[in-house]
Amino acid sequence: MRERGVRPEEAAEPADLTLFGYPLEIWYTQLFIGLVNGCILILVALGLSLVFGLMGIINFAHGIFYMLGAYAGWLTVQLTGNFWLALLMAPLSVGLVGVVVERCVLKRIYGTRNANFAGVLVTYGLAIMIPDVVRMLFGRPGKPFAVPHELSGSLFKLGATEVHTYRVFILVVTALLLPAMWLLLNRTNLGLVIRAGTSDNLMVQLLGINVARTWTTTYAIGAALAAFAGVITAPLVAVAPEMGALVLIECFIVTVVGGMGTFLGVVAGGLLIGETLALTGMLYDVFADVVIYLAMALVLLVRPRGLFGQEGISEE
Amino acid sequence: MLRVEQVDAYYGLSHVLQRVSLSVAPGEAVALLGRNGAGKTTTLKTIMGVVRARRGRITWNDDDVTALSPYRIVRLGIGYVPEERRIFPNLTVYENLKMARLAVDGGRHMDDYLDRVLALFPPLKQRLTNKGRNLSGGEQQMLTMARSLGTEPKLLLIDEPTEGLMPAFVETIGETIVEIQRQGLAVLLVEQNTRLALAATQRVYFLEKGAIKHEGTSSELAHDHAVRQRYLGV
Amino acid sequence: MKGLLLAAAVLATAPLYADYTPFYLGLLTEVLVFGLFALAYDVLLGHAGVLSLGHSAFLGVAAYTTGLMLARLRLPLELSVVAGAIGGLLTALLVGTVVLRKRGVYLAMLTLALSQIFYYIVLMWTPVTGGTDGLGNLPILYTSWPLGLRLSKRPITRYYVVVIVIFAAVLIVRHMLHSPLGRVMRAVKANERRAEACGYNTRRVRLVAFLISGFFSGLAGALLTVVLEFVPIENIHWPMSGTVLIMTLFGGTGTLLGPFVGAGVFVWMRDFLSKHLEYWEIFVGGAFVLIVLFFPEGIVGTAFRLMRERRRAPAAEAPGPPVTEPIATATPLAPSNDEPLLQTAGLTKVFGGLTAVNRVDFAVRRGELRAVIGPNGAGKTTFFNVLTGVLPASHGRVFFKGRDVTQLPTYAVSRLGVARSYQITNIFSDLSVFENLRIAAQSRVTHYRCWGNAERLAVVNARAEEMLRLLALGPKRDVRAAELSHGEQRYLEIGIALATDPDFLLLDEPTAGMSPEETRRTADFIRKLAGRVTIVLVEHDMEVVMGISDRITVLNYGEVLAEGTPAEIRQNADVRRVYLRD
Repeated sequence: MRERGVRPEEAAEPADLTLFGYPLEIWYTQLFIGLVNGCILILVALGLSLVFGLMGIINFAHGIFYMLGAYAGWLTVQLTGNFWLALLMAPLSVGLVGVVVERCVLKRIYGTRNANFAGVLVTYGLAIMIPDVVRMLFGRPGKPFAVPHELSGSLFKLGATEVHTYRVFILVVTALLLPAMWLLLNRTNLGLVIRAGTSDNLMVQLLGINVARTWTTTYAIGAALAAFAGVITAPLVAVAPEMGALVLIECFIVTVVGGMGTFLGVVAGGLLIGETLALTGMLYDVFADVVIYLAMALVLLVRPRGLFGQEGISEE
Repeated sequence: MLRVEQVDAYYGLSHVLQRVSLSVAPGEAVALLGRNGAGKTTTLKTIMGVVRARRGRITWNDDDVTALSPYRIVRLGIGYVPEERRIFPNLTVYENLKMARLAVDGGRHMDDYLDRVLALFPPLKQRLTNKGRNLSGGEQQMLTMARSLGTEPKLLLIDEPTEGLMPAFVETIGETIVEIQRQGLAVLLVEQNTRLALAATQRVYFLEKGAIKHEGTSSELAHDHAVRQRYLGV
Repeated sequence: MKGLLLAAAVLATAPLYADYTPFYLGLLTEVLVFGLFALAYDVLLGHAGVLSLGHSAFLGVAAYTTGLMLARLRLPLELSVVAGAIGGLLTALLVGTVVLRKRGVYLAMLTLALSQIFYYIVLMWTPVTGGTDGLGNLPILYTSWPLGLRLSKRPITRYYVVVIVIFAAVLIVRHMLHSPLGRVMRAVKANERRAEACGYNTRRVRLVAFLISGFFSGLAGALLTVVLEFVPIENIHWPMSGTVLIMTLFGGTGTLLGPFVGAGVFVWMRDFLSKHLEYWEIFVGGAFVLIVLFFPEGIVGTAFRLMRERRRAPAAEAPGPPVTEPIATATPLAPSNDEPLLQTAGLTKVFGGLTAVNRVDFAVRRGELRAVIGPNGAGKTTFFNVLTGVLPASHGRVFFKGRDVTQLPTYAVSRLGVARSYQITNIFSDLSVFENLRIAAQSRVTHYRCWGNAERLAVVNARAEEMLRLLALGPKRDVRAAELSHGEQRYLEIGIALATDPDFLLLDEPTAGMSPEETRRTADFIRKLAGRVTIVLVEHDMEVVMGISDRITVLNYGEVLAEGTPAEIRQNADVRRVYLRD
């Protein structure tokens, strides 16, 4: 899903100020790309973290929703040519898929012995199955997804490099969505039930609330967020059946580093991992991918509950 | 009114309730007494649908509620105050109280409810914006009782409300239970403090090894040392 | 044993009816190698209860190690295979050390993430590993050392070599699963908390399970390199972890046969189903979801269960003789010296706003039977939890045999000779009654011995048999603990604690939920035990407490309210006021 950084030799003119042999402008560009990558990771990881907090399930099908979102967006653009409609259709349709998955599959394992294990296993099964369904429907090769012309081109120049309008767009959309999600969690009744359910599901029921419905809604919201991230990333990368797997693993890292089940943890973890990827991509391209995994191992050894995790919440 | 008829319930594979029958009339306060492990908490959990009854029937106003989910039972007018209190530690006191109103009116009319429960539990007034985890044991007990009133029950099941509380609080809780009943609610009380339980209720059931062994009026039992000795062993 | 001989016979003659075509023989070889991989995986999942999604790293590192040894260092075949297995072991050590800081599904997620490190290293280190092209050209694959043979390239030779290695590996795994270590792994899976209270360092036990699993996964990876003559990068990529999970669950966990059957089914799907269905993974994923939802025991597990049920159906369970009262044989303790066996100084435990245990000074002399009483919520169970290292103390110290044990983990406290029973029955429900007692007794003899049959440890067996007799649970010896009656489970609860041969025994409401008759018998039993072991007892039944204790400590709101002989406590005005209330 992400792009590699710009290499120094690709930069047009040498600049005066350098850091570790790279002009400052390139640092700015990389930091900016890292920020955008981080935004996308946050959007996907948020749903993963919400579902884990409330339902205790590590949802391996979450990457699928990201991929399906990109396909739903691609399909909408193919049919109508309208990118903005795609932004709407992707989360809606994939949210619906989320409802179906939760109602038809996950519901069967609640309350059984080892329900959390079974949750990993069935969602893992879905993660194997659904990409092949997509391949069957849309073919194996990836689909190109053009940047909409309203958002193409660059907004301004940062020294030698151009700042693409579309990247700024992603940044702005995330900057709007995150506070909205925060408000949803902290200022609405649904958010109240989700937060209460995260600590004690049975007690929520004993106050007359139908938790099953909240679970379905939360799962659907998570799926919709991932799908939205998928469709807005699509113009930066090709749309392909395999795109869900990598983002899922990176979101695992985000939640481990930030702390599973916390809003702040996901935001901090997402930005940290996004930036780390972008900067290591510039400084030492060859082993860039390994660095985030090592960072995760380090966080686990030093602070097992993650940077913002609370005691106990991520233990079992 | 609540009627429990010949109910069996199991936890895992061991037999916990055997043919338990009891009833609570509208506005009546009833105590359920017995040793630790006699099945008192299980009886309450079975009424609430948390533990499944394997046999027998539970009716509420003549409707069969045996197989309903806990949230439906609560909506029908049975409130539950759990032994472990189960305050949401990550929510404020106000949010804890609001949780109880969501199923009633979506938390739109909090004022009347707050007035009512803060009159019953004045110390909570100062704590509305504190997180549940920062409350003392006594405050947690007040909050869990106040919260259970939010679901507008006709019958309140109260499990061990004085457990681990300072003596001053114990008296307050006892008085509150009397006051709650005076406001028209029926109460089914499980309590270790026999004196308090007998003082706050009109009728008593004694459970032993998961079966009802004796029933009588509270005033009668207050003077019957032999029966208490036999079933409570104090 | 019969099954193994049968398997050996089938495998030895397989080339005769596998048409002798290289294709089928190669396929069979591959199934066996994957079967070994799945078996190694199941050591962790089915026997130690750890779900890993990172086994691609173990298999892959081994496959590449073997491949590189052959291709770059030109080492002999045997050495390369052994090096591969050791590579798997070391990878498991690295991964296990990090991920075992977590549990359950969180751990599963971490194994997946960590396994990616190895994939990326292989991917980026193209000059050595061949990157996405994989590692081919393994030139001296057919030279053996020290045997000095030039192995024939014929598939049948390779088949027999692989069969022999795998058969030996299965025998070793089988042996290990029956060893004392194997039993400890099962106990940790059945009830980790209780296993820890019996003195087992459960995290280390799970790490050892990781190592065993890593080694045999590594062996499978090395053999895979030999069989394929090539190391595809898929061997180390995360879908391989999914493949082994699918194979194991298809076949069924907890059996030796299951992983091989699962491997067979998977390879069949991959090679034959895919000829007819281009998108065969839909079928694999779907079948996997259905197996998890409806047949969690897998093919072999379900078949075994059906066979067992048919066999058992006519012979209805004969009811055992009723359980009689437990008897205790008294071998009196040495006369107590005056130094307390256990002592606390200012012990305090705070939860949020609640002080559950408040500056408790408490001392018990050797040989004493002490009761701790107090109203519900007075902090008695919390006090026990702090004493045994289950909860860390907020302030204060605990000394046992003069040693500061405040910071010690539960298992270390147990090894010093402290045992406890639980208020809420906490036994190994899935294990037999005898195994419950045997595993507790074993903790005093060996924790990690992976050789020899666990059931032939004479000292341990004697101790467990003695416990069976003591608790009068003899007739229920082979019954699953979960199927005992409530009263019997309560006896077993005490028995597990006693089987660890403690100097100091904490009993948390042993008579909870018992009838007056059972309560009386249990009280007698505890009184008789008091001759042999120092006891602290939390109990609600005042008759029991007054009847059997030497001294009584009264807790109220986490503080010591009074302490003295039963007679003194009975007379104590404070106690009467707050506790006896009558």
